[in-house]
Amino acid sequence: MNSPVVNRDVIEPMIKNMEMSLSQLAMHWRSSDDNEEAREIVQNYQAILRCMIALGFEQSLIVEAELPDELMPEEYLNLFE
Amino acid sequence: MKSIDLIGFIGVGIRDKQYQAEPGLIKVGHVGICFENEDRILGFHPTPEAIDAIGGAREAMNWLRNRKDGNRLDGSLQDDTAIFERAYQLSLQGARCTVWQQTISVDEDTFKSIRTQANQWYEEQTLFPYAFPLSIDDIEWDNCATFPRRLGLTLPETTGQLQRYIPQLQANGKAWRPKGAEE
Repeated sequence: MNSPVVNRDVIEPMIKNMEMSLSQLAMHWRSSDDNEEAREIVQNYQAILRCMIALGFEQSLIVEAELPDELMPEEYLNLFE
Repeated sequence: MKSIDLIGFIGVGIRDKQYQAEPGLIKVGHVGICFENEDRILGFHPTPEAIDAIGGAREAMNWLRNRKDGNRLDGSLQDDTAIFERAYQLSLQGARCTVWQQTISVDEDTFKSIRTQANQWYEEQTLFPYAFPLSIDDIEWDNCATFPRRLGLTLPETTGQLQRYIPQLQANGKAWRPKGAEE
């Protein structure tokens, strides 16, 4: 059985959409005054960013799309060490 | 009719080692306004005094990314022409900070009124609260991308997220180059 090939034309728009989601989530996190909501946002944020990295993303995110360093996944911070 | 340009670029981020020595606005990304027949680009961002007061550029960046109450800093309109020229140079070297411009046409009276107001805020260094984009309406804030709404200009994108805003400048406009730069 042939394995499906996922090429860059598919992955790049996917990663771009995920980046938009991170920007949106970071905005909501900054605006939240509810600790439980903020915690859930961080979980979703980290899951999306880890997925992006698994798909090959290795750039610096736009600054306003980042959470504070202590909430950024290690996989992301390690990209720049 | 007269024209006012919105000019902006996506920043290179704070992580890449090759851009560590660049100004903060090159890392964050920026949007400014330029009036017809003028070269100066005015941009809204935290004042040097506000950045010093919080402990420097790195601390300011940390503060703005955080969620503490009203994570804002005093900002003002400043002459950022050199920042856009630098972003243009870096984009020629392959950085992702291509500079885009969208032209807005307004009637003569509106143009005069907007230019007078912008110049007054610039000359007097009038302070407004600066924040990275927020999704709440109950506190006053602007970033560089949303600030033109204070002058009555219609924004190409209303959240102020540069990830969404700059592609709108690109879609509605064209690449910007400094005066004298080769085609």
